[in-house]
Amino acid sequence: MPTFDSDVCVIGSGLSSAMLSDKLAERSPGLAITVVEAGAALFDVGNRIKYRQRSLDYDESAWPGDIIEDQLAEGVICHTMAVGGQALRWGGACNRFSQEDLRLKSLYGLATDWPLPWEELEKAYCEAERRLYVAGEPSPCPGDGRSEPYPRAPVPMSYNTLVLRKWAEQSGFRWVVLPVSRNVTPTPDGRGTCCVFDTCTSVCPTGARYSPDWTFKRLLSQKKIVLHDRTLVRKLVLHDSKPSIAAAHGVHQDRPGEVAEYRARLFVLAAGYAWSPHLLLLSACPRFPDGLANSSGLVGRYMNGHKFFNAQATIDTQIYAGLCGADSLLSREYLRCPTDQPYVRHDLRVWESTVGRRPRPRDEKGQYLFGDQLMEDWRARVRGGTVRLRSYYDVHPSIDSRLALNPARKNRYGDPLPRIEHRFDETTLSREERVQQHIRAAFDRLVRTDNGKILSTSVGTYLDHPGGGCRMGDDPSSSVCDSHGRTHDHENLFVVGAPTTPTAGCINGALTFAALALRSADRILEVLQGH
Amino acid sequence: MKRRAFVQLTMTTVALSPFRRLAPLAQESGLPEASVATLGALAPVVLPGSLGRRAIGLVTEGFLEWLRGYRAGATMEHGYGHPEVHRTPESPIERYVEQLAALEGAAKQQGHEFGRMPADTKRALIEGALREAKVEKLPSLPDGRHVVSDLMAFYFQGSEANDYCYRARIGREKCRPLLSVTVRPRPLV
Repeated sequence: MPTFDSDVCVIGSGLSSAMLSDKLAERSPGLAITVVEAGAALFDVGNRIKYRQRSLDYDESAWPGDIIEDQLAEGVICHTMAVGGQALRWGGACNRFSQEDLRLKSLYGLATDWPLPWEELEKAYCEAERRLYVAGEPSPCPGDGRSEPYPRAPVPMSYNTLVLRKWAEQSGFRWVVLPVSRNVTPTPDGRGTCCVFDTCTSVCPTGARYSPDWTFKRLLSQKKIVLHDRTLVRKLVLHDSKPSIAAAHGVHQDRPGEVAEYRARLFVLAAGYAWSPHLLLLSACPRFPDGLANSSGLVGRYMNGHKFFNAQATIDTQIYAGLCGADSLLSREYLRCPTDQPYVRHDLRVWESTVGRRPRPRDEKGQYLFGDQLMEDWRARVRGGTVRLRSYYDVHPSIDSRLALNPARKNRYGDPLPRIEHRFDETTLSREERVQQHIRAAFDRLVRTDNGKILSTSVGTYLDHPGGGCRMGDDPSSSVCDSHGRTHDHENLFVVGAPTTPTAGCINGALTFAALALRSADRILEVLQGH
Repeated sequence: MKRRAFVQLTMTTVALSPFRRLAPLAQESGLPEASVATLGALAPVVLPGSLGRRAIGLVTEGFLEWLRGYRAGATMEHGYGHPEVHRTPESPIERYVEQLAALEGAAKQQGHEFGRMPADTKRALIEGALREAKVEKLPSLPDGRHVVSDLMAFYFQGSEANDYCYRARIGREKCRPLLSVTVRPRPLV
């Protein structure tokens, strides 16, 4: 059996792993860090323009090779499994939660409090923003105070966003340009600058929009980490006599019959909300028959995320569809809820849209349109603008919101794959209609200002920015790990990022996952130093 | 030539008649010459005549190049929210050949080659074919339902058509200087 020794073995290579590995390597030069990733390292940056073009032209994957076909989880929002994780395909949105997210129980009697003070998370947010070179403008909403300014000025608004902001401000809501990890000027880590390819959520050929592969490439070139890609960790192995982790057993895709043993002083599970709890459950053994780190029975429980409400609306303001679809506006107006009022929390977002304004081959009467006739019909329908409106709203998981091993679906090694089913607590279910009405009223207030008309509304059919499954807490009977991600059951096993979140807030989650991972790194360094 | 990267060439000089240029592309695209001839004859009916004959020829060329570049069995974008893994289906080429032959056959029933029929008659035949294929909307990318709707989608869903619609240099999905999108798009000259 090939064995690999290191100080820290990090399993997974997404955003949280990148932040953590970078910080560990920076703060403790010489620390032996091995990152093990089931997917491939897709570092062929030179091909990204070609892949992007084929994606646009043929709907081929913009990241060829980013999935493992027998390693697909049920109930996840993205199948990407590669070095960089799902953050290969994120839009770069870097929003902070609000203080209320950490005090839901204390303030509103809902869900649970997070076991960390806001000031500590805020400090970690600042660090994450620095590392991600986040560009943003200060929020005008009271309560959104920052201890440091954004590292970079906001990305200049597209013409569409500029006119939409003027329109949106007439409603009285306060708006900012979405804070993003998108470069206008080069960064020291070699990422390029924005050329408005406008495919941020798919692939950014220049790296202007951050993705973790850039961090790993740099760490590898500086020989600060060892990366074993295409290697699936199937099991964490306990020490013979202590409740600590002795090794991780993995299998390389090209050597399926050979188990590689990764030995380390400390193990970090950074495999996201699906694969982190999944590995803990898979690692059940006679001493921990329900899975590792699971004496609370809560591994794979309280799976979270936020729901969302969408609308498309027409307005009189003329916009030019396609100028920069990635740009959006954000209002944090309703991220806070007075404690003496019915609980409603959600964000507000605005984008340019093309709904109802695409070319069509048949008119209302069903007559076919061709050539210039079709073009004229189209021209007539692009007068004015369409906006896409969306609100993420706060929902709270029940204990039955869970990830379980699915015996009906197994990978090539016979391991059952994860299945996630989200469930909500009673108070969430009881207020949902009222929350949606509140959002609808906010949308109505927005569109009213420009002779607008809501064309359609819909409720999202999945939870965005999912997390949970290894929730943090002070009490080992009601949580899997502490606020630093250290598991209550195994002193040398940490879980970082999304899985540790007790609740998902009502705004993009990536920055919070990154901040939590960076905060975990501090504690991991202390543990390694024997504190 | 990439899809959505061809109409700007209309501003450049093309020495040969565009339809004469289609013949060599026939072999490369895999479509028989007869099919390409029918495609070339229907293109001016379904694409904007205001583009000009040369540009319409370039669009048709671009479509044939798109066809040539098609790869069956490639992993497709798996989506976000409810991801699914699919592979690109078989090339639509055989269906296109059949559909173009059907148009030619319908024309012959009326005693003419498709290419020699009056525009109105061509249009009627095309409408009939689209109706039979139940084409209700333009796919965002050519999807193989019908060669006519695919040619139309190839053009109308592209960046150049978007610019032409707005009569403005928007350059959707093209690499552009960031500052160029911060101002109202310049008019299309």
